[in-house]
Amino acid sequence: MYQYDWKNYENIFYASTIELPDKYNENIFVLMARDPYWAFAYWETAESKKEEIKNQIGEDDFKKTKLIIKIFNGELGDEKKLHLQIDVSGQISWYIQLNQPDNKFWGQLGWLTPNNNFILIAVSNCITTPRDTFSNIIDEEWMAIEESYNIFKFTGEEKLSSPYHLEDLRKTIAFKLEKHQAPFSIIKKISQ
Amino acid sequence: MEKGYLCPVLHAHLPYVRHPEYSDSFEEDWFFEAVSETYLPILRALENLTQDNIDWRLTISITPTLMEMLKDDLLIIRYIKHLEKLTELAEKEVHRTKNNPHFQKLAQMYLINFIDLKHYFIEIYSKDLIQAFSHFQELGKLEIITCAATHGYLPLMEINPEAIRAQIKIGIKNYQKHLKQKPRGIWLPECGYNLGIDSILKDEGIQFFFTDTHGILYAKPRPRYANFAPIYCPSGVAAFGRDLESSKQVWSAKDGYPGDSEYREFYRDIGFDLDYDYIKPYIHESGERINTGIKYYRITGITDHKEPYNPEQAIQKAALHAGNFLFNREKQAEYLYDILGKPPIIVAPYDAELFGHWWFEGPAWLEFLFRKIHFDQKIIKLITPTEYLKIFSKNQISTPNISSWGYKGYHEVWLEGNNDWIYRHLHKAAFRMTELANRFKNASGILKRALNQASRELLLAQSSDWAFIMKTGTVVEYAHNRTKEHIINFTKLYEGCLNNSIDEIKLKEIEEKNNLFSEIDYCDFASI
Repeated sequence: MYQYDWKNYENIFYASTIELPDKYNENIFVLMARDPYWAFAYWETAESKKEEIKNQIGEDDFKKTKLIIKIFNGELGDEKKLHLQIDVSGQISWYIQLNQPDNKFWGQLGWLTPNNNFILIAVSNCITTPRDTFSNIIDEEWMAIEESYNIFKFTGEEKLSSPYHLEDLRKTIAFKLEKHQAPFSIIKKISQ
Repeated sequence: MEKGYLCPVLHAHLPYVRHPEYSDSFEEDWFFEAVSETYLPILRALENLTQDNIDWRLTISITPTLMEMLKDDLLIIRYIKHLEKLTELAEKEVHRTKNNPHFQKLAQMYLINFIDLKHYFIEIYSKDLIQAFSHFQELGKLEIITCAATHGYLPLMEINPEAIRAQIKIGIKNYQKHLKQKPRGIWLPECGYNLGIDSILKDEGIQFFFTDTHGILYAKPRPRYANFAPIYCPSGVAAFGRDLESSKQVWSAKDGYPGDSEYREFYRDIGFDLDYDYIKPYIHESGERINTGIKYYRITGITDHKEPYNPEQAIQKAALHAGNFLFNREKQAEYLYDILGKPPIIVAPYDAELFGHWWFEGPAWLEFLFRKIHFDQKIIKLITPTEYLKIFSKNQISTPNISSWGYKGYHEVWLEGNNDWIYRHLHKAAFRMTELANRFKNASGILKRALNQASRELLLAQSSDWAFIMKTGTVVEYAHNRTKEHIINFTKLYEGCLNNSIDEIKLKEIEEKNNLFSEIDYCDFASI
């Protein structure tokens, strides 16, 4: 949405007392990819599940359990590659640094008992992180014309590695425009 | 023969803001301003071009929420009153500025403009701007595309595929209701693309969509023509990528054309500048000063001192900038044609509301650009995506990158510390809506009404605008309230449907208030 001129109107909006529930009393663990490197996760544990586990391991041990999220690299259900394990006791959401663009991740939410038993509460969905650079996969029928990519490399960088560099390109072009020069004619000269 | 194609795209969107419960709703002013400053001036520019037999092409997405507002009787009545009030103010301004010829000339310009707007809105366009845009589509010059129903940010609905499908389906149905045909293309809200969305588009008959630059540049396998030709997703739907340079030249208020010193200064409005008692009848009824749309100064420079606005000089500058833009596109096309061996398509998308609302001279710039393309050169040709795909039907198959056109290029604008709390509620409500749609397959009577209204409330809660406002940090209260209001309305309806305890009075109340999408069918949320 285009940013409207709201800055002067803070006092006009009508305050409301309505509030949403804190929780829905369910066992759920959701992953959301934010960008090539980070994901957001939120979760909830149902009261009935807590009671069940308390009865299973005893009140004292339950007090010593930690709430854990495990993040696996791979398809949903594939536990071969444990990517991260984070203690999220007392939290309801977390930003997770995955640092692996163009990869699949999924997770498990559970309690870790003092005896290191992991009691599963919920399994997340599977996410794919976005890519942060050009694909190395080339279709032989459609060989990429490297010159058409040169303009995106004209930022003083060896390679374009993220939209931040696209932003650099935008700035470079804007600078040239200020000088009343046509950027593409300049690029052509340099590339020649 | 042309060496390249320019595909300008305007994305016209406003969230659904309609407050019958208030006699003076500031939020509705967003809509009134957009009609006066953007939609009507653009229509008039297109009308001028057509009358002069200029061969122009433009693609515009008019979001379903905006279409519904443009057809809403209450908003239309309020818009006309709004114009009448502004006309009265402009008349007073002509009198007040009688000792200052320069300002009086400007006041007269505004007076004529407001009278013209009313004339065009009522007499020429019969209060139906959708029909006015549709007319140009029938002429084959304008391609109107659709959008998700309430501009929901689709990548962050990944765990609710039924909700993604419903946003798309309901958007398409709304387009059909207003334009009596199916859309060929869609503007994904915020250019938000996630893997699999194209398959849903394919199922629903959509042929193309747009991504930001890196949506195509980082596609897999690597696109042969970078972002200067569309790719076909494996589903068969075409994806066009934004061109960086042409976007930047117009887009940036700081570095782009709209920041030029000759152009009208947005932030010097008489709603804030003039004596309080004088301006009070024309600001918000609470007494808070607001923009009126009457502005007497030009940008001048990065200084608080502002020189008076000179419309003639500003228009000359718009013509100059149109020429500069075209010159750069010609150079760009020539360069790319040589290396690609085929004419590139330069996709230049902008928020429509930039033109006219922020950049007062934007519609004039657009008109100049189209005239210059028609008369001054043969290197660049305007084109719509549908026309392009007819000429170049063979395109590379590749999977676009997950991306958006928001800051940093991915989902962070709509998923960060100020707005991440909304998703557990939005996801839960979407799961519940699908549960309802699966459970009550052939509802009728009050149950059907409640299910349809629950669909509306969920869709309204999903508008990406609320998360965006929370992120930007201004008028956050309104965005919070809208999110909460719709989720709570939804939850009450959900419980009422399940427990057979629908509160008919409350239902009627919110049906009247949140009255969009009369054609809605809650079954669109069912599992497939």
